[in-house]
Amino acid sequence: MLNIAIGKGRLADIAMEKLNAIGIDFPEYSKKSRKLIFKSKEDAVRLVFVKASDVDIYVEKGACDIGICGKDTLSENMPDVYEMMDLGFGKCKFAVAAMKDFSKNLDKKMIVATKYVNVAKSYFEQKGEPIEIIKINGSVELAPLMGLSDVIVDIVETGTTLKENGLVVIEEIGDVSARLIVNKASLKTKNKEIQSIIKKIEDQLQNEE
Amino acid sequence: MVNKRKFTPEGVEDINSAKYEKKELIQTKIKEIFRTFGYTQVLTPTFEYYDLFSEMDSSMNLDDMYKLIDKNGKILVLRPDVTIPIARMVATSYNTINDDIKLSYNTSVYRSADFRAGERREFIQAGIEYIGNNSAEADAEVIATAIKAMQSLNFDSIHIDMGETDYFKGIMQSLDIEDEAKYTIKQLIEKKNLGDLKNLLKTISIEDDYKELLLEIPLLYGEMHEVLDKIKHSILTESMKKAIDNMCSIYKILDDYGYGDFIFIDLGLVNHLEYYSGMIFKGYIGNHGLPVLSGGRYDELLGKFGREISARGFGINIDEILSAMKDTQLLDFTMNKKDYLILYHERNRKLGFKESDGLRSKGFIVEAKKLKDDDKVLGEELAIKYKFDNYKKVLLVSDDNVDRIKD
Repeated sequence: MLNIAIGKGRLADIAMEKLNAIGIDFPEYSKKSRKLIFKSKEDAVRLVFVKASDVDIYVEKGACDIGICGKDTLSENMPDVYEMMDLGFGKCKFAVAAMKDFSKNLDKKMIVATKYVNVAKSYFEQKGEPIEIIKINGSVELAPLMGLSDVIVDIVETGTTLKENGLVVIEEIGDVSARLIVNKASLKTKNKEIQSIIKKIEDQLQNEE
Repeated sequence: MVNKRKFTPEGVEDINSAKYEKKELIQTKIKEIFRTFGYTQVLTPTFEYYDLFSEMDSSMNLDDMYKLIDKNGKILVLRPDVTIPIARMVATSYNTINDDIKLSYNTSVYRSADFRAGERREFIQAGIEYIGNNSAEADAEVIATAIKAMQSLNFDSIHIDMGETDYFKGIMQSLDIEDEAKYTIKQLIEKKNLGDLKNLLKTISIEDDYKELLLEIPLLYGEMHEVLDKIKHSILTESMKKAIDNMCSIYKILDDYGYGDFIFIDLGLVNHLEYYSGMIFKGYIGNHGLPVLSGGRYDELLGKFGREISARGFGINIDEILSAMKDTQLLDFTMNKKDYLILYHERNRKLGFKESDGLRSKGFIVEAKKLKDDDKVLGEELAIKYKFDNYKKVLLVSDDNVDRIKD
């Protein structure tokens, strides 16, 4: 049996559609259900819903064989897993955003509020800009508005939330999309089952193009 | 502040006797396999100079080492790896021996760990180093030893992932691109991240043939014949061909050991290229999601200590084996039942001790306990008071003979 971890939230619905499209059905699943584990017909696949930023740890440790999660989680946690497919959905960008009238003051360290501490650190390190980080767990846009930080680093999908809160993207860090990750042991020990799922998803993605 | 008196720090633990016994048995079995392959055990110090590791391209991150400052200001580290100290030992203490050197170790290793992933910062590593004998036979024997060690622990599902670093190095040598781009390509291949690799290659100017090849590498895994089939029509420079030939010979030898079915090829294993030369491998058991052993060939290491000589080896993470066993319950350890309880009255103490001693010298676990004068000699009460359940047999020493009261 294969265990697949899916992150609750923005990617879950599309991920479920993709699995359905390749013929993996979970009869008991509905969006409203509070259950966290679902089995496919014939028990070939077990699906578990975990917090989006935890998908990688389930896969890295081998509790799940396959995971579907955003590149944002992978960039932040840097798990030791195979990052085998870019699934092409859930596209957005990592960006630095600030209030409209913000200008960089090179005399002092810039304060960055973010959920993505490691991503922010390595980005500014590469640019050679010294910063201080404040770790925020949600509604990151508030931080510059309330004077908690100078800028934020976050994923930006349409930019609506930023705009409504008077923020603008000042730098783009990189692209984010949903990825299929695989446990390093599972790819070898459950090779045939995993290959067949990957192949089906690949074909499905090509059909959509 | 919470008083930490009752807790152990993160990443370490108290090991209770049941777990310790299991751990000890695992080590004993593995050590026995190493011994039968002709290895003798050595020990290197717990403290080493930081310089030993910082000046070395090792497979470990310098930030992950525990550092201490010596009285005279020198930086020391807690043994973060065993292979490098053994390489030093061979280059210095064994420098008069021109024969092959086969050394084993079984010792604690200390590394700063990712507590988010539940990693440990102290674990036991058991392993071997085979120095000298520049041949595919020696490489294969080391992998065979690893498989044999796993078999001795009754793991029926054993899986060895074998790669050949010279194949990838061969490709990289032919590419005229920046080191930074090479590094990124290597990282993406190690992660089998085809999506990002494809995008990266669009921005780099190299021949299309090579782009195609680089995109193939992450998928060059599977059984030996499958992989050979996949690379049939790809570019093969002289050094790449040599690497593939070497991998084939090692595989053939392992097949003669009867281990062909355990071997899975992955040419996308490209981690730690600065350290390894030639074959590298990782071992998996059962359904455990993390590797329990890893190793490979490192011909350049001894040279750093002034002795150019080929070498290969591997290390088994005993703690990882232990957690894999919990998953699979493959070993049936019967523990904690002692063999004999010997009960005696004070007047028969001498006889009681003599009897205990006789049984202990036969290897039985024996506990001797003095009976109180008012203890009833037979009956349920005595069995409860002296916890007969914990013993396989109970003997009662009386004035002229020894009675079995539980057998």
